[in-house]
Amino acid sequence: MFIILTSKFNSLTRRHLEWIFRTTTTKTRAVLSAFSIALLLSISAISTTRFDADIFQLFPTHQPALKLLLDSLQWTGSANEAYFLLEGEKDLLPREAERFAERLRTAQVDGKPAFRRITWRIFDESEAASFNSFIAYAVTHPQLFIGPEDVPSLVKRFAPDSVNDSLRRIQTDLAGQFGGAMTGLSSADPLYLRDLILPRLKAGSQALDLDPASPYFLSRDGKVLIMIAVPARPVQDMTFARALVATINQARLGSTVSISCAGAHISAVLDEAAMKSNIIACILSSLAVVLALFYAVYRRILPTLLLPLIIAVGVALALGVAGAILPSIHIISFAFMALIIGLGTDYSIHLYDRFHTERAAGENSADALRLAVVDTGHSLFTAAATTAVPFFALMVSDVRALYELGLLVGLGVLFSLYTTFFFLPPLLVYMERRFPANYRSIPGLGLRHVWRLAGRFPRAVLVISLVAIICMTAASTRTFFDGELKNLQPRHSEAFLAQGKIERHLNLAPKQLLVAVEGKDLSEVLRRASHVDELAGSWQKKGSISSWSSLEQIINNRDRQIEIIRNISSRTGGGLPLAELKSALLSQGFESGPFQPFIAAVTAGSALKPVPEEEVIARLKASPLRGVADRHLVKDAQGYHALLFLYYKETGFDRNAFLHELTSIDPTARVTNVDLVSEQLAASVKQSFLYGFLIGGLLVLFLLLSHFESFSGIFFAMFPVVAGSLAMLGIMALCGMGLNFMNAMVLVTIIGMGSDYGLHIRHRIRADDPQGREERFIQAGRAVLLSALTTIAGFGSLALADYPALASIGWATNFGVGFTALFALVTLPAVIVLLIKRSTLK
Amino acid sequence: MILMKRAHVFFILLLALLLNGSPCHARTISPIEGLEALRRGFAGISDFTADITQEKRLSLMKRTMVMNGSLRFKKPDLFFMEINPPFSGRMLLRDNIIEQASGKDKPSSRIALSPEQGLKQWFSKLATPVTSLPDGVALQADLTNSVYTLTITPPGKGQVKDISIVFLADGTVRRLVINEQNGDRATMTLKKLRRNIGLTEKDFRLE
Repeated sequence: MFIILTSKFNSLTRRHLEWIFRTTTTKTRAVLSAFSIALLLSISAISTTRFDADIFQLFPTHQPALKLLLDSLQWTGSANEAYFLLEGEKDLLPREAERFAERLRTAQVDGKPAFRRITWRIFDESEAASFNSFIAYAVTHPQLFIGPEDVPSLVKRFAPDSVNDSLRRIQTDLAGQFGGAMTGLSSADPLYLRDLILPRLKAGSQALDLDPASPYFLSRDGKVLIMIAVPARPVQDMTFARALVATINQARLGSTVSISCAGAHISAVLDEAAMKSNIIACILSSLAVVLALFYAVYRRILPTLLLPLIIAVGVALALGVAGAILPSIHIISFAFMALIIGLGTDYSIHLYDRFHTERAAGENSADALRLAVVDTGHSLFTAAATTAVPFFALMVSDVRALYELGLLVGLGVLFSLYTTFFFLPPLLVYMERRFPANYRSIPGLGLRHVWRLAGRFPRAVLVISLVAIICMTAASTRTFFDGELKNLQPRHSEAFLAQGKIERHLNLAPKQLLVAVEGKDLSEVLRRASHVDELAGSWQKKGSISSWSSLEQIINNRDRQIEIIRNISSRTGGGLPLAELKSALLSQGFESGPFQPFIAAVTAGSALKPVPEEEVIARLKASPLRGVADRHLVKDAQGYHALLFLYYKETGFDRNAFLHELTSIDPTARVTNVDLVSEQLAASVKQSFLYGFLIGGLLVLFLLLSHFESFSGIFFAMFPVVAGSLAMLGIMALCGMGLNFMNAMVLVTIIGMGSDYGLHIRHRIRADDPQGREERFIQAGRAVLLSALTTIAGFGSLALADYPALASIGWATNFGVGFTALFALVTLPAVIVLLIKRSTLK
Repeated sequence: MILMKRAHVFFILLLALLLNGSPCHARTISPIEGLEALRRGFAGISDFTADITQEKRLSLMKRTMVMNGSLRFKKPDLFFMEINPPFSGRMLLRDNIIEQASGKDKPSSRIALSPEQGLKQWFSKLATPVTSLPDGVALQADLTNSVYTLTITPPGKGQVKDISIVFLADGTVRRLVINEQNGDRATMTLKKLRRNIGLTEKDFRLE
């Protein structure tokens, strides 16, 4: 049954190839017209396709850790902020910052301000009134802001001596200043209760490790001043983002300090530009090398010139179809289209090599072309299918990077094959008519020696190969997975380097963990968050974390408020005493009128009633301290999200134990940090590869089995791949290179492409006479060698890219393709010779 | 905004304090002439000290507060004021950074004004003769019986309503008056002004 199926499949393939041969040699105009229409449609689809550059968009956002990370970036506004780092002489930084800030303030994009807000000083004088207003509220509601341990200090402030001291201090403050800036603050808070409240609020609002003595956002080492700006439009508007970056570049011209930028807009534009330039440089250089190789071997100008057209049409058709299917394509996925340069050339090499070889052997033009299209075409058909199928199998993945890669390369492979099938034969027919040539033998590229060496010492070659495979397999056990997303970012990208500087100079701790407690009811959310807060406190006590920040540390929940109110009442025997204040105001010559709001509020018992959380959060959000609330509590359509930030060092924090305790306290709390994101992504990628490998592997086996109609054919196709993959992993481990989210995809590439090498060798070496076998090996081996070289030139050239994600792909390809070709061209002939000898002996 | 106005105040105060004693006669002068007189007075000064008496009539206080102290200035950007007990306090303006300390056990506070409001910036503007008024600033100048009175109204609706500088025709500053929107008023009188005495960085420390 299976044999019938494979025979049918082979028969259909041959009939299909016969049809291609007839059509391309007799209906050239129709073929060209059909391709032209398809090309126009593809270009139209490509022109409406959006290319993304955000690395996070490559991964599944339903992963809990990544989802929370992206959510938090959105909630806190960090996703839409731009960061400017000014580095230089400490004395120069403020002036240059002001100059730069002014330029940013006046910068416009499309006639509108480029930025909504620019912040770079701790205190903004324009917010003095709202600050005073908040202080007036806070000091009359101390139960919201002070810790239980501060109650004695609070009560003491109302004692006679303290009251008199405070009023004398007011007079001193008023005396020491020009104008009456202190008047509003003094009347709002005559007892300096803000001394108990502000340190806690300031600590809670601190997201960066800043110099406390500096009025600017200056790092403790005084080397970096950070400016935070909010662009007028979101990062998704790439046209705006590009114009914004141009505006920023204009604004920093002529500055005497170094100004670098980070943030989503900058990253998107600069990374996109860096990636594009890397990819374009790679494509152009590899195209030049590929064409040079092809021409150097075959010495025919028209087939050489046809290669870029075949590649371009194959890529355009694949992109067009993918663009019509997908709403956007990630730029990294697009980088994999460089692979098509290598593959598209492979099909032309095999087809032309066969045609040329047959013509040189004396076949007429039509027969040579038929053999090339139908016979070599059959192995090309199977090879392309075995390459495309593992890639298409990756589409089962929920990882966008893998899904897009699978679709694009799969389509690219098929379109390249068919473009070769439909473009090369008409060109060869045209060449035969217009430029008839004497076909001379093509150089063997040393493959004759390889064949004879393998024929003479087959066992030695096999043993050396096996020893090499065993050694590399042993080395491959040291392969590690580098899940650090940072290591995939462009090494010289300004946004990446600036982000690194922020981490070095301004981060509160090397590591951070974000816990989100969520729900519809604010009180309930804050109550649950307070339990997490207690957990964080206990972990800090035992030294496992350096510090943490939460809303609970800044404002007291209802239970804590009641505790403080009880404490105040028990110490004062009722409300906070105001008699001393009233008396001291009189005795020290103060007007009582300006202090009435404070006196009236305290008299009314404002400090003795629990305050709803909504009220205090609204007050905070209306004050210059809004950042405290924004950072720790978010409300959106899903409800409230209380955020707790835990800071810890590289060692000493057992994350799993913490998560275990957290789950027992609040099973619905969500957690994220960079390590968790990497781990979950790695798990997702591994699962995708497993499914892709199983599905793709089964289909490839079916294709190979149907092609060869024997299991030995599968061995010939798969042996170089398996050996090449092990050698690739082994050499990468020896060179200290790990697998990552990007180069892991090369394994699929190697499985898809590598099986082609053995397939072509086995497909051609079927003749019984030794001389025929040698010539066929040289013909097929030359095509395989050239294919490997063009693949390395096309895809392996990414190794020189500045973008580590691309460079890691390039190195993996170079190692993988190189070793696979080596095992196909050196070890397989030895195996074939041994098999022939054995069958001869029998 | 309040602090910006305070920066204006510092500036005007400094100009007034630095006046050189060139004689003048009773006549009506334009605002620009008044400012130019201040500028000329500043030209030959590198530093100075003076004793002060300040009277503050504040909405918070029933009585006018009276305090004594001293001032120091050094070009281009250092200004220091110390108030004597019972209202002990010190204030240092280093270009655009204001530092204040009200007692030995109290922490000092620091506030950054915009560098555009810093002393350096203001004095750099005085390198050339005054030919126009600053944007948005209203100014009245009066010269009566050899006494100049310049009244400056800053732009906007900030806390400072206007500032008046009163000086004699020989350039001696008599008084500086700051009126605020809420009715508060501060009057500073200077005595024993000594110029170009070679002040150093050490004379401008809060501690």
